[in-house]
Amino acid sequence: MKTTTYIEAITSAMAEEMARDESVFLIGEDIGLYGGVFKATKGLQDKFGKDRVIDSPISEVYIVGGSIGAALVGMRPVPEIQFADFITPSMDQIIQQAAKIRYRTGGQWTCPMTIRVCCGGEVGGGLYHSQINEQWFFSQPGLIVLMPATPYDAKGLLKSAIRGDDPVIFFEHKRLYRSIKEDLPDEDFTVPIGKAAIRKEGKDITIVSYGLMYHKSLEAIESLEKDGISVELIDMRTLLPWDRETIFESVKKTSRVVLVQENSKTGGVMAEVGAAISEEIFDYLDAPVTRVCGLDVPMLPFAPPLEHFFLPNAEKIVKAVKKVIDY
Amino acid sequence: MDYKVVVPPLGESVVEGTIVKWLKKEGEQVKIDDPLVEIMTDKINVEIPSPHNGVMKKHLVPIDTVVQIGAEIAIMEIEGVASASKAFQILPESGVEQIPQEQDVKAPPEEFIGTVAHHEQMGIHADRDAIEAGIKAAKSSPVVRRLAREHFIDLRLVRGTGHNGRVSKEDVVKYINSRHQVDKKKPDFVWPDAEPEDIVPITGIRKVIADHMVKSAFTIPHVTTFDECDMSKLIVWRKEYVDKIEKMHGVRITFLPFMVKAIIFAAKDFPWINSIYEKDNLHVKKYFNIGMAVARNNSLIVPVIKHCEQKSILQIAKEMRELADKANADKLSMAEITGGTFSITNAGVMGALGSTPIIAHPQVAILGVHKIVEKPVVRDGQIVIRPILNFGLSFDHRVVDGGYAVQFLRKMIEFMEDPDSWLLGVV
Amino acid sequence: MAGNQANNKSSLKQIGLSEETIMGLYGNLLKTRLLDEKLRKLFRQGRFAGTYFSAVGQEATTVGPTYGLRDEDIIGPSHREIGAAVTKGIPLVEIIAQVFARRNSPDKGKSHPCHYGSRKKGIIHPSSTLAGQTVLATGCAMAFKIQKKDNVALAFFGEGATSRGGWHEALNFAGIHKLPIVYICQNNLWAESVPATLQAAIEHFADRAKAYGFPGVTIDGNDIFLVHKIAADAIAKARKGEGPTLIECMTYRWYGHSEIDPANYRRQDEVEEWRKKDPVSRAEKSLFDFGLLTNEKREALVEQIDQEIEAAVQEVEAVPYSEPEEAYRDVYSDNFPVRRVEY
Repeated sequence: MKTTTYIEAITSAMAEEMARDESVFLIGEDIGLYGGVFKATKGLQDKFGKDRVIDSPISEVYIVGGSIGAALVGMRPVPEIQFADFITPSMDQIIQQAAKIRYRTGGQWTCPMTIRVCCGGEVGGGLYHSQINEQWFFSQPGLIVLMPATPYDAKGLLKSAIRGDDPVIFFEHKRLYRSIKEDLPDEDFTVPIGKAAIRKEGKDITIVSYGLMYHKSLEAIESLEKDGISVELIDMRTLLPWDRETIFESVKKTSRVVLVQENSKTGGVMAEVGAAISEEIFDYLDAPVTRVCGLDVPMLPFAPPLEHFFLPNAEKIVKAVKKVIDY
Repeated sequence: MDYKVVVPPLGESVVEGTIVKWLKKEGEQVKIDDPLVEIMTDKINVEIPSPHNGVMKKHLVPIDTVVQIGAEIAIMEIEGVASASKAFQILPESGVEQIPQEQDVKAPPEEFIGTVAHHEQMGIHADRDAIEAGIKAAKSSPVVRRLAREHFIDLRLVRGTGHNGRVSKEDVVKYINSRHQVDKKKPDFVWPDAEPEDIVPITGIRKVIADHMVKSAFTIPHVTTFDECDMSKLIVWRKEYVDKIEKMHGVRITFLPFMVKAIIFAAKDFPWINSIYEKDNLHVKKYFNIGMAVARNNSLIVPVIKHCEQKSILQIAKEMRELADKANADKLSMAEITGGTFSITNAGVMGALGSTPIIAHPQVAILGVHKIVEKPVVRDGQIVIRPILNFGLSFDHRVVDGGYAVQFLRKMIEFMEDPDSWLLGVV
Repeated sequence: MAGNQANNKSSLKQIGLSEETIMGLYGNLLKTRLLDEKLRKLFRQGRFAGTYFSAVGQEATTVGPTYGLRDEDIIGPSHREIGAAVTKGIPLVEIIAQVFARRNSPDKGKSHPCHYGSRKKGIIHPSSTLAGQTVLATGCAMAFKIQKKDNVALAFFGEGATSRGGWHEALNFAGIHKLPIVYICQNNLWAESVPATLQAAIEHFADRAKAYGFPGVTIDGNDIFLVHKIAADAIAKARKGEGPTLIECMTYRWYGHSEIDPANYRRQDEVEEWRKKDPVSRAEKSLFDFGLLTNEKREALVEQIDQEIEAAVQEVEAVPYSEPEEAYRDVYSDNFPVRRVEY
């Protein structure tokens, strides 16, 4: 066992997979010599050489598109997009190539690639260093979208992603990089893609969340339990394809659900989760499906009070849960 | 053969075109890929080449006509078979093998238990109108409405503790629990016009019986036919021998073993009466395992006498006695209560003159035996008093027709009424 | 200008190709032409849906570079590379099945006519986003370098696609890392309806290579033997680890962008002028001159290819479309089956 931060978990996952499989390589901006702007790739170029830890020019189209090409001929690329904010230039390659190449070629060509994307707010990053745009990818079948909330999941899911044969968008929440620690086993382990985690069992209400919002929900639960409200907490972990079964079973049990997401409300992941709950297990609901999300504005603003106002937090979650309980 | 020239798809957004020029006159020879006609669309002018060798037989539309994509515009006489364009096809050809896919659909949930369907299968019906009226009247959520329907709850009777008196799931669950506990504590409320009652939990063997009855009654369309049997001759016969037989063999013989034999004889002509109906197959049995319903304290059991066709009336009588004793002592083995092919139930011992017995599923018939009573009947134009037994035969109308069952019963009664014809051979 | 000189002076003798190569190039060129013309007619007969992108007139630019590649060498094509598909050896039935979108098509009918590809033969089935496969092919070349294999990648695109950002990112990266890739630009003067002069302020698109630190040449793209020779040299150089080359092949598409494009944005005299530079008749003229081909031999060859095509068309037309359930397949690896919808 070793006490490991979220970012150390990611670094060690890459190091272990690179040692395990020669076809795994990294490419991205500032990842080699510098070890990454957040130091996620620290020491890896020294260890694995310049061919396998490639400092790319500022070329997100190529970082992703070149990785896809390499994946077609036997490599397992792990490109890094330094900030989710900068993923837009590579959207063409992600959406038109990575997500569709298996489909458009009848399964002849596949794309085993894991794009690591550093995302998320509450770091004072402002408009262009705080974005979290999982919902763009969530609505693109053919992609796998992951967002771990714990060091264990960060390591286990990243390994599953690298070993898998599908294109993965792996969102890492930068607020969690160094703020959470966990004892991780020394031996090799993976976390299955497509399975949500029930972090806490409860009977009165279900909270579904992921990423940083999982931690905000945990905070909220502390206060809710003092009021005698028993909460079941689900961490989605895999956003696409999401684990309907675990979420549905929990909501069937509690009949009440609050969905928490950092991103803007409209068209987000929770819009789909909520719609599916309403459509498929309507007869089990005792109160409206309720979401706690970021604001419907272009993006998280910079000034601290504005950023705070934008983001969901424990207080907002408590308020929503109580409203649903009292409904 | 004739080949119909159609306007091909001419681009993703194009729906129609205009015939500009016929490039092959009627009667003109056409070689494969020869241009036939020029069509103008708002995107492009195209010449449509022929897919076949042949002759241009007829132009169906004149030039300058606007034609829709897919329209027939000419007929050609061609050699061989026309190529079938699939460019317009949106459904797969019939006969195309459909590869079955693992459906990502879950089996119906366990929650069937307790649902309306389940209740109804068990023969419990509710006042649906009251339930629906309750749902309309009360402020309630989807889960509350579901519970109300499943558990037959008139929501007007449930006190809502939610916002503005809304009935919550919790309120309903409390209500259901309280209903289950009415025999233990005072109910929170009283049903309108409720009468005093005892609530007896239906559990254990009673529950098993209930389930069996429900299964039979709601699977099998029952019909019961009645016919009367003149027992005069058998009564005389029995009177003469019953004591002697008891002395010799230690068993006091009843009429039931005679009935078993009469059933076996009659079934020779009506074999489907002695069968098992399972999974769309009727297993017509060549042997007779006759179940005999035996009443016990507050329950009922049907031990089975195996292979009656190989046994004498005496043997059957003995076995019947043994099984009844075992039943009363609760010592029947599983083998002794299963494998029946036909059943007899005797409500006559309790004094019943008629009944419509429920078939022991998956058998297809059961004979109800009733009390022998002296009745005035007409014989040779004279009213006479005769001991009459009213038989009731319930049968599975899915596989046995009315006429068949009626004739079987009549035949069986004929054997009963004229025992001399067969008795000596089998006693 | 190297390009224009080559244009005028190419001859088989000077180029120094073997007879086998010459006849191989010509055979693939002719087959591509006949197949392309046949597919155009089949479209107009309503035999397949969608549309068709003819490459007639510019076949030499795809057949020439492709001829002689290994199966493991990867081609990142666009939608007008039927010549590459034919030359790299994708069977006719597979090519036609792709156009007809039948069950036996490599994509089982999901993509589009003209999106020819084959894993086995090393052609990436293209998307319609131009220059997309240029980026992918560059990634393949990057992989070959990491893997220390001497495979090469070929990227095909039109002059219009060189306006895309991703194209520049890819060539830039290839230049930095001296990747084993050859970029073939088919400059047919028109990007659908927009002339090359509105795509770039430079006269020769090959000049773009300068910015990325590797050579670019402009050549007569309708001289199959010249195209092959120049491309083969670039490929050999790439294979040796000496980096990429951009080859701009001047050529022309005879017909519209697709079969539903009348191409009336082009002047008729321009079309006529280019029709005279037909790569097929030019190749034949050379072959006649060198005594490698006679009229009889040509006719026999045409008949044989036509029969092959006809047989393949008949085979494909007899195959049904995929059943609708096929729409659920090939979304993910088997670990993640797609949820079936109720409505």
